[in-house]
Amino acid sequence: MVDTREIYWNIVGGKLIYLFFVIALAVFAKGVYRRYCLWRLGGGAPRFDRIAERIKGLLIEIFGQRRQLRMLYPGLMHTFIFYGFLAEVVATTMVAIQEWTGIHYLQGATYRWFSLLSDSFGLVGIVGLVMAIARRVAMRPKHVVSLTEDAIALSLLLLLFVQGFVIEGLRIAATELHDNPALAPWSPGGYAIALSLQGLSVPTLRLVHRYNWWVHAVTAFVFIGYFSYGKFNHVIYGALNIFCRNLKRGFALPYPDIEAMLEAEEGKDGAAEPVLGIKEIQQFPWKSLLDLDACVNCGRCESVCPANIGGSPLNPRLLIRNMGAHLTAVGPSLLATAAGNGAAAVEHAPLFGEATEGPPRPAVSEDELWGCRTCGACQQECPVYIEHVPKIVGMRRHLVMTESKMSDEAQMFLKNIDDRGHPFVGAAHEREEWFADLDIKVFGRGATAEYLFWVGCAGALVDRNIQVTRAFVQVLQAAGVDFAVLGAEETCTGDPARRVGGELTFQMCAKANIELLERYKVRRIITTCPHCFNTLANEYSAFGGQYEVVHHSEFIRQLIQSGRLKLGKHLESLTYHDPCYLGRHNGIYDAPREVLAAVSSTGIQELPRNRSRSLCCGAGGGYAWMDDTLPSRIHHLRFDEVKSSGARTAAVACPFCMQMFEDAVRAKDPERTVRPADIAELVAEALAV
Amino acid sequence: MKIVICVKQVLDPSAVDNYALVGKLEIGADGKTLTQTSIPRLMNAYDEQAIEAALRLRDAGVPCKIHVVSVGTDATKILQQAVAMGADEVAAIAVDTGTVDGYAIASLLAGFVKSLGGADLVLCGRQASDGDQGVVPALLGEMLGMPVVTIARALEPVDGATLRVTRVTPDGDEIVEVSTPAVITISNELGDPRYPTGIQTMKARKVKPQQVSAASLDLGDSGGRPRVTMTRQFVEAIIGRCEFIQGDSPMAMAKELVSRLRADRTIE
Repeated sequence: MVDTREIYWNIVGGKLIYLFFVIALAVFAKGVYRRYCLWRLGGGAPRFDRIAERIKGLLIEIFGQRRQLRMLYPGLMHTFIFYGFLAEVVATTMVAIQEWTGIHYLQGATYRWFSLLSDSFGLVGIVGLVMAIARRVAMRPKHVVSLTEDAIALSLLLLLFVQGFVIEGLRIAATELHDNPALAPWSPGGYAIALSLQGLSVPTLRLVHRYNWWVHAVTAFVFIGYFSYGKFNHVIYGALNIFCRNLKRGFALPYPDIEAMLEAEEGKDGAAEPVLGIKEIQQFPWKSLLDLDACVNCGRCESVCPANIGGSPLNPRLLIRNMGAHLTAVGPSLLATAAGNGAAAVEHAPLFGEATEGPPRPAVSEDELWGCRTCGACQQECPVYIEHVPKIVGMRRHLVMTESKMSDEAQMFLKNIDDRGHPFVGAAHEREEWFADLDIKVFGRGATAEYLFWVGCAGALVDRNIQVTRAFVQVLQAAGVDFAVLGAEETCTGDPARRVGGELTFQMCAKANIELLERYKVRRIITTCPHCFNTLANEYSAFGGQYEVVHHSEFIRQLIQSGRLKLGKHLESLTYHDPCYLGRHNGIYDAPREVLAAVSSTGIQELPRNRSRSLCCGAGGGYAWMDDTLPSRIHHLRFDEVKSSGARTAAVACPFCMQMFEDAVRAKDPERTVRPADIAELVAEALAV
Repeated sequence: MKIVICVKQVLDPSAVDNYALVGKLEIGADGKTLTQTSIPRLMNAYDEQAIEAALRLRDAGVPCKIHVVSVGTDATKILQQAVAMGADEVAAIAVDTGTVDGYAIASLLAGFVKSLGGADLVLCGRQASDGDQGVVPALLGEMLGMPVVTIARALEPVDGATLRVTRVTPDGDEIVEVSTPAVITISNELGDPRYPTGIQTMKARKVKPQQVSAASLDLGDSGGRPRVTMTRQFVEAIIGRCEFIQGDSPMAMAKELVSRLRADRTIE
């Protein structure tokens, strides 16, 4: 006897499943189409460039479950469910192919291995589902919120897996156990069930099998039809979202050409003024709307958000979910309006507004929008590559530029950048004071140099950061680097203005700086500030400014590697805090560590949250100039982590992390057991060793 | 209501203070002119609040035509800022500010108000952060024959010809009513001036202020000749006498502080 099984064994009218399959597919397609129409409400460019790179990344996420596995338990859980599910889909398709083609390839050794593998993966899937149920019922992490759709999804999947095994067991009990006992153990799951059903008569087994087969088939079609409506739709929307992910280098926010927008409106009498920033959901690009559908409410973003951890009302998970619900609520009326059926437009809740507004309550509160530090932890963790931060900044832009609604501190630093060219009020220093006693070339005074050292406002105007600037100059001079500075002509890059929503201020800064850099034919820039670095390297290109920008951590590493610096290993107890704008936003993790390895005899004691998981110091998104009023202040939380690492030196690579750490030291470490120090300072100290 | 607001460009007062504190304020060879080029030039903050006061009247439903005027040759930036905030018309009286005193400035401003055919309300900041004299509004009231109400923190229309003004005094508020036309000076207690919207800022950048020559104005019998001349300006040496009270615990330090204050009779 050949090892195989008969398709539709014991089943009457089995081919009817194809009819059901078509119906289920139609229901499924309707669900997708309904959402597709909503996405098309948004504008923006397509994201189908660099196809090979997009496909490669998608495959890594699907088959490698890369972002899923950043968190162990939920990562394994999802991987088990995914592979269990995938294997059963493949197995079912293989059976169907055999039926369509009439080629009986599932026999003999092929069939035995097919049975063993599909059964094993089925068991893996069940393990994953049990893990998921345990997590939702017993473990209940704070950020995992269980809704009806979660219960439906898990029950449906578990039902499908269990039904599959039960049917297999019934069939094996009625056939293989007697006819081909050597084959039965190749289906371990079904075999175990068959053994427990041994007492039943064959006709009983056949009857139960027949009904169960149909129940299983109907469950499967319900599953397919429901696929595009409930939680399972992440398989499609999530995959599409990963494919359409942002491939831009660094952290560049969308660039609306405000001047062009105004000029386009000029001369048109009675034309509505252009709206700056995002006020209504359809102003988002289509990809942002797809983001909303891709979200599965997994809560990873919430679990890593520094604002949320600190007690801010901002919850990146709820932000996306509530925006998604808003799109569902207002979408049909927007579609009707777009189709020329204005009468169908109905009053609806605003996209965002004050938390106390309404009813109807706005989908997003302004307090949530102001909570964000733009650290990017939510985006880094999202398994389907949702981009939370550009949405938040898009709405902040409206508050700042159209409604002039922001905190007094935000208004103050924006006005300072407008009026004074830097975000600090009446700084006691001018930009050239820090090098008054040093021999440094200045571009405006006829100097030429290989590199521009972009000092940054903090580096030139804040006492503690000036120490870092001077230390870095000492390093540059020790290595004989040919550099010059802009001196008094340098102004803010506009980074804090852009993050807080003051896009106009940012654009004025960018245009003025690019003009200045053009005047001195600057091509290569070194900077000690990750925020200046990110803006110069990644955001000025939209305005025509193309430079080779190097952060000082990378530059010092090059100097060490090329043997231009002779350093002594003088440090023993040291940790390193990854700045968001250097690490997560620009992927620079190794350079600062290698620099520190060159000055430390013991290496770095890593913090529990390090590299791409680093916790923000709390200063991003304009918060270097705004008070952190959260119940747990973010920089205190981060400093606690630093302090409990036991390291005596906390190395940083960002002027704002430095300011936050110094502030935390004053509040939480009056004995100064921990010394915050920039990598440039530690290297400068190592020059003397 | 026709409102004229007088604004002045000053050196960033926080920067001036900070430079002075660290003993690095540069005074030119003439012994009276601040020569630091790195100090930003800003609109006097009280004047910004005067604009805000006018805008609040407009927000309250009073139909307003808001003129903003400044004496000086490079006032474009602050006048564009006034437009961004909501001013309707802006004008610069092109006179070198180094050569004028409060009296001359008041004469120029009074001449400007007359050239508009008068005004229902003239608003000024309570004083300028550079000279801190606060004499221009009073002189202006005299020259225009208008009553002057000083140091206001709120304006409220009573009827077409009367304003209720809340004045700030050291002991609390004082509420007065004044018939228009009047000169009112605004204090910082009014609150923060508004931040212009992006569209307003962009539009204002294209506005060119009307240039008014001194010769075209009626400067009265005196011709607006300055009468007070600055001869010297300098920063006194600042001696810091700061002592950190030492102690084993916050409680011990607090006790020591209290006993010192008692000894100085600062507290009883």
